[in-house]
Amino acid sequence: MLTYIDRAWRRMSVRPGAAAASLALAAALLVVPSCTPTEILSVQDPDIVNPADVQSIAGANAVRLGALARLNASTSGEESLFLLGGLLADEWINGDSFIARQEIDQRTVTRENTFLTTANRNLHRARLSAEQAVTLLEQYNPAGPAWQRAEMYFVQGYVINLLAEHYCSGLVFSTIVDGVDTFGSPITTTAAFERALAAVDKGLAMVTGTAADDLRVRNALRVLRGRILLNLNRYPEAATAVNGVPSNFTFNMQHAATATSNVVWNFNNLSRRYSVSPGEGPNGINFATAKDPRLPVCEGGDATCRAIGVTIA
Amino acid sequence: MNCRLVMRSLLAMAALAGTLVPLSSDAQGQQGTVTGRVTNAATGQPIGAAQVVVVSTNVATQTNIEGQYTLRGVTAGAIEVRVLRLGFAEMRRTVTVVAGQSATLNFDMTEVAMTLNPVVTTATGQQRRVEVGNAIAQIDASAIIESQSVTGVGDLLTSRAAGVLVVPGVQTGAGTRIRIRGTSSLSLTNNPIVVIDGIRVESSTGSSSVSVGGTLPSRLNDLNPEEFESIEVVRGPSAATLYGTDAANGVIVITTKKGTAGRPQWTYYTEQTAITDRNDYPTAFHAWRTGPTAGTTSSRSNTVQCFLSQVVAGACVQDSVTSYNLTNDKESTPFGIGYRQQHGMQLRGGSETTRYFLHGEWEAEDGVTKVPEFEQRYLAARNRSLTDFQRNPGRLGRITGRSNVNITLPRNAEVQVSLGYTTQDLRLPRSDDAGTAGIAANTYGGPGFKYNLNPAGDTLYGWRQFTPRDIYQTETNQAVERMITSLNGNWRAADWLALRGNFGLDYASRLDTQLCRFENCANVGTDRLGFKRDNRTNFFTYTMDAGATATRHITSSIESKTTAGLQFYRNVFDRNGATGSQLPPGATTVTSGSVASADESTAESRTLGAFVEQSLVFNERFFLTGAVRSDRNSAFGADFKTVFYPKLSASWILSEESFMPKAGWMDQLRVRAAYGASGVQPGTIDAVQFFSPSSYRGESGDEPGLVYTSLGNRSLKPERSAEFEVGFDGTFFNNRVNTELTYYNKSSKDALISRILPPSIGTGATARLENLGEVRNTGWETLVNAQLVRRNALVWDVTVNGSLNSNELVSLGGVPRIVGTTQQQREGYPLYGWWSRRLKSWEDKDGNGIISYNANPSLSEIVVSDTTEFHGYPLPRREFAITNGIELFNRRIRVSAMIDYKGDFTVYNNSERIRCASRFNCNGLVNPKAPLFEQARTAAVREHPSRTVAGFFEEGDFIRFREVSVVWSAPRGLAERVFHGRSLNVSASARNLGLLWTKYSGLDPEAFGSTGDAPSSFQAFGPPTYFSLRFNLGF
Repeated sequence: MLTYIDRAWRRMSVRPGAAAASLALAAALLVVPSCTPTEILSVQDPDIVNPADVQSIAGANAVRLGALARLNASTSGEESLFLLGGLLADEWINGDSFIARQEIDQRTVTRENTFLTTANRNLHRARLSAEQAVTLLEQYNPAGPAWQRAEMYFVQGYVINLLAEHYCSGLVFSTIVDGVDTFGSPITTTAAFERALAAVDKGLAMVTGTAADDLRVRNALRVLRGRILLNLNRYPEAATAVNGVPSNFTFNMQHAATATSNVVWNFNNLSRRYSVSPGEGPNGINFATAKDPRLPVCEGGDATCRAIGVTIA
Repeated sequence: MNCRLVMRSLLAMAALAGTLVPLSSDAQGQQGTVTGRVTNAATGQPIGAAQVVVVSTNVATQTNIEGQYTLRGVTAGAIEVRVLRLGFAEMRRTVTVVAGQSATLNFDMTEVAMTLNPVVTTATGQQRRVEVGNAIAQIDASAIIESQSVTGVGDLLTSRAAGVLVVPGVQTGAGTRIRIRGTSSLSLTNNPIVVIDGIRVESSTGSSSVSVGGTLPSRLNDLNPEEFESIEVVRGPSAATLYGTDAANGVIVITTKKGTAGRPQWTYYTEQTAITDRNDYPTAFHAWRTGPTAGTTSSRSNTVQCFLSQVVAGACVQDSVTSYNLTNDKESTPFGIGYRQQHGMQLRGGSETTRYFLHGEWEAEDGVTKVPEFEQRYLAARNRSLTDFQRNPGRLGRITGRSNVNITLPRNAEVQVSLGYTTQDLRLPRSDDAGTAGIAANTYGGPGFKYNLNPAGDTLYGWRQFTPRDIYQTETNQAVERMITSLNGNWRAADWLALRGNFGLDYASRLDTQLCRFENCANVGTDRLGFKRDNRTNFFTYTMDAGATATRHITSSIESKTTAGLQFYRNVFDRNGATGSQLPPGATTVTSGSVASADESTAESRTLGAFVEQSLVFNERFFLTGAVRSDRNSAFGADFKTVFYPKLSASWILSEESFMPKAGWMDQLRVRAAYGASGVQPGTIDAVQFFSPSSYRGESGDEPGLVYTSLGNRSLKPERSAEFEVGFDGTFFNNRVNTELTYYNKSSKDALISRILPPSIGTGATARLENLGEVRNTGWETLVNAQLVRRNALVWDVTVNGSLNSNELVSLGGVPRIVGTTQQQREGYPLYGWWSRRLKSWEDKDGNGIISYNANPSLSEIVVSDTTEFHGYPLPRREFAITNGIELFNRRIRVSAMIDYKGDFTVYNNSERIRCASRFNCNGLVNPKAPLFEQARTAAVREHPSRTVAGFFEEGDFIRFREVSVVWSAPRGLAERVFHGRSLNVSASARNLGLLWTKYSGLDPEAFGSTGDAPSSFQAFGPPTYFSLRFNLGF
């Protein structure tokens, strides 16, 4: 067989043009690999930011701001436990056709309820971002304002406390360090409160200045510490924790049409996916007609109504 | 020199090699020429477009319209020439060629009754069908278009190729979903790739950046089928191996029309089409009650009703139950007669050295969505009007053009330069769901009586909340400018060596705009404050392909063909979007919005592949092909470099073997088998770890931040599908019966599974893609076409194709089953199967005629299973289509009709679910006369703790009268007398004449607004019916 093949190839008549073309093609095939496939296939995606780009003071600060954006999303910027928890507790009543909200409103929640999962994810996203920010700030901007790192501990403590308040025992806190994920083990509710408290205490320990941001963050940490201690049934300590915090102190989430929307306003006043409960079910409180002063309620959802407070459909 | 520049230059050179090099080559010394004419043996008429090939070489050409051909550069000596043409029996003859002289060789071909095209297109070029170890489906596009009402590629493919499932769009401009041999991927696209004249083109579904509620266009619809000569469907990895990574879902190979040597031939055509929506939309019901207060008494302006469950509970008493179907009321219906028209001109001709095909068409389609009568009166009474856009919210305007020029160069070289161009504007109404402001959301959700009132006191004529005067004011438009260019070079450097190069660029510019003027549109959110979106997207698809084929006789009985190729593909998606909200009166631009936002998105992928294929032909009846392809792709993980795809196929014409008994009734029997692998590449950034920009609103305003998004996966590699296919083809009874039967077994390993990340991990991404899973598709495909009667007065032919597919998720790779609200991915079950707790039984225990739920099982009249159960496939497993064609009066008139069946699948009637659960207007909720099943499923979804939607999973099986046509071909003399023309034919056709049978109680089992892998039928329009009249005039 090999002899046959050899003879056949020898019989082939190749014109000079064919040889030239073959050489051209062969050259192309040979030269192309000199550009390595890695180079040829190298693609830069401008939509993403590589981990190397946060390895700086500016990068660490951007991650810090990202953590605050995550906190915003996990509270009033997206459909959070503020809304979903209220739906379960009959503070709110469902106003639309989504099965996931109906389930919560009717207290027939299934494991597949993605709205609850997303709210849960958002809280952990805020926590992870805050952890990453602390690490980066300590590494790249150790001389920076202490309140910035302290505020990141506030974010961690706040979401851990919120999770512990809303969910049953068995909370899991996982983390990612240097791109490696480490899954946590379930802990009790009390352990979660203790974890939140530890974060808050770290923050309080480092925020000692008197600038406006120092005061803002310190007061936020104190209030949060008080709440955690209440949750731990350590009432005298809770009272001590908030001692000195002005009674009109607020820690605000800001919203704007250009950044994150205020979803509490959006889902209630604007689209009325949520409405104030009119005494729903046997235990529901009639916030609206009882004229609960803590909850100004109007009807109709027009501009005047929206300015007053929450809306009943 | 920059590597990228070197790469670009070299690939361009490679693409051009086939055309440039021969210009400088030397004269061909020991060669001669063969010329001749190919005619019909029965009539003596010339046969054009016949393929003429010197056997065992790369020397080939086509006949011109006079049937003449010339083969140049033929090596001196005795040669064998083969001629192939659809509708004729293959012919071979030998001739002796003398160097420097011309030999003459004529062919008189014998017409055969029915035959498949003897030539198919493969990744390495055209091949005889019998040589290929796979079944490749072919669709004679040009013939179908002249006789049927075809609005897009989907219409050409629907029910014409076994194993190719097409779900057509349901409104003007709507996209088409195509699945070939089942669904293989959980995480990546299941769309096939599309190749036109050797280059890849963009064909994504759901191609829009603004929402209208579900129904979105497909880039496949930009293509004009009038320009197609044929479509071939490469159905699985065993045949698609050499198309490389991303071809595992199959390849749709489109060949456009080419010029033919001869005098210019003009063809003008026009098609005039009426479009109607003849679907039976669901009727709305309303249960009226009277209570002690206004809040407990039904009125035209409130939603107070007395449901059956309340009747049973004694909470109210029904006064009456009314019903109303607004689509059956000419005052209220949004559906009218749509109109589509096409005017096109084609020119073909050329010389032996230059041949051209030119085409241009203007097309306009005004869909069935109209302003209802009541709305016209309302507007007229208030001296208000809608803009033209708002009066006609579903409209398509398109101009297409194509130029294909083939130039024969000296030294056996040829180059084809092609340019296809499309410019179109597509208006899309807010149709399906579109929040609460969609047309269907408001027609499906009506109150069950006609004269309902909104808070302003306006009568809504049975619409739920908003009416067209508001809904149609959302002006959504998609403007597309698209250019598909290609340069194909072929050079036969020697008898035994052919080189080819393809360079192509498919460029599409898409402009999506959506406008709500100040105080226009439905009062949802802040829409009436006005907004304008303006999103501009560019799609670039580059193809660079170079290859060489060497052909040679190894022995007198063994022929060898070796092909090597190098390919580079680059896809770029590049989008900029801008939105301006809160517009002043009269403003229509983004700039005028007081709140502006902008976004940008880019995605790019590159594939570099090479292959080598070796084919051996033994005694012209056994064909063996082996190949291997390797690919690298920019989306692979950093730790994964190269993927290899092998291929092996065999084809054996058994009937030509001496040991086979010769039966008079059997013309040819062929067995074939093929194994091959291919893949689907991951998304462009699936492998990498990254942060994403985020904006934080602080005390001092917006500040830029970064949030951790994805962990990535450094080991990510493509999904790899390997397929084994075996089958036989037979031709019987003097070529009057052709059959194909194929079995395939496709296993997709390394299937990308979205491993759900626990919420506690805190990443922005909710899942990480990992190569864990395995999906298997097995099935049968068959094709039978037969000419049952063949007389001058009557010809009757029948084509039947059918397929059966079984889909199974074999393994999730240790990942827990993926559970959605109504779908689950479970091992041992099909992908995207429907799951829920089953509505096991219902019984009117108390005899009151009403089915109700009670927490006490002994009193409850419905029984629901304790766990979720599998309900069915989301896509049809079985498909059959039968097409009958009858030709009368010496073939002057041809009547053809197609009926198709799709079965063994389940449709989630989500429209009815929302009517019962949230719109409160379904029969089973309020009407004591409703069938008990309808009451039971309503009780299950509203009252039972599971809230199971099981009762809304329905058998989707149906038989549809898909299309019918009558074509009259005028005698040649008549065309000459009437307009000095060459030909005239007239066709009348109709598409989607309706369902002949179905158990589905919803609108239509093909009424899907979206094009995903398991769409529910959710407030979607039904497929319309097209009635077309077409004239083809040849000059």
